Amino acid sequence: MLIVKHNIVAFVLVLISSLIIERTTHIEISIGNLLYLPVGAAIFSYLLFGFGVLPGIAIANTLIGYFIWDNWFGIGLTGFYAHAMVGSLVPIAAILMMRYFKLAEFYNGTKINFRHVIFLVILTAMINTLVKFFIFMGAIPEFHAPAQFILIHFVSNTLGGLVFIYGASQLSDFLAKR
Amino acid sequence: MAYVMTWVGTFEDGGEIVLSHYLYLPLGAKILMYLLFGYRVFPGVIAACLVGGVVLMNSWNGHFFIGMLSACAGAIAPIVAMCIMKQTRVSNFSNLARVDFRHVLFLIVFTSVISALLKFFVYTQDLTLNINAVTFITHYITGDVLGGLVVIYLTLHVIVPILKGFFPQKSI
Repeated sequence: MLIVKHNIVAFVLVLISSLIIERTTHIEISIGNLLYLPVGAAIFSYLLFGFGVLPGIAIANTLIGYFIWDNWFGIGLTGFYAHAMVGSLVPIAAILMMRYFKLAEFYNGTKINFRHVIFLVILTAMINTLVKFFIFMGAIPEFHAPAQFILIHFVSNTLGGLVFIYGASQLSDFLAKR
Repeated sequence: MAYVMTWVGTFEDGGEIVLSHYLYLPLGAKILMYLLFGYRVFPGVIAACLVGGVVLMNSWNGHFFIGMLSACAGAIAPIVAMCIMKQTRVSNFSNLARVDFRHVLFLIVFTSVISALLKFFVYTQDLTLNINAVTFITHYITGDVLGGLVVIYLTLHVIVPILKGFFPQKSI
């Protein structure tokens, strides 16, 4: 039952972060936006609850893409692969990569090691950007600015990841103290 | 030494700047030099890149300015990667004896991606070049990773044992 609860929390986190950027910024599939919070929500959920929350994150990404972004702005299955599948799996790949290369312990006892998490966010943003770029490049006919796509996606993923994780950890600290 | 290593690595490069090679040795040489001697060999590395580009690659097939910028990007990429890894405390390359070999492997991959992206941003500024973005990035990453691995492997398993054979009393 615990894994179901964790999945629900991860689902809510990704859903809320997606709705925040949907309401506050303009998103275009070939450009993106400058603060992509759902990456942070996914990384935060994986670090907090483990890889078991993958279904919750994948379902949240799928629902957002299909209903809120109108079937991924009309590109359908390609959007599903790039946003829902890649967006859900890339943080896992980055965490596994860091563990395999013995790069990081994400926790010092019970406290989160924020510097290692910063590196994880950068690595996730890099992989996410490249994989999405390779997928979208062949699928979107009006793909005119590849350098702009890579830059904006990398910056938005990094900023979104850092902002979300920092905000969530501060909020959880504040709530724990009260 | 950084100059010579990077220059030697450039010899096998045929000079097709928008495609690169599947075995690009200079990146491995640059990483090795930065690991061995620190960031102070940057002038030697960048000089080697520029001379290699002008002499061996015919001034980057006539795209001198863009080629020069790309050489700078290639020389800076390992420093950027090492700085990010050091600042986020995932690895510290200042004491080479204590460095985990897996960290070096990761550094090669990480540097390759940064180098490929920086070079891509540079080359897209030249509108006369017809660049296929996916091919460009995949070729550069593959070439840099394979070249880096080959250089590090040769250094550890060929050059160091030979040097140990010649100088058995020294700690190499």
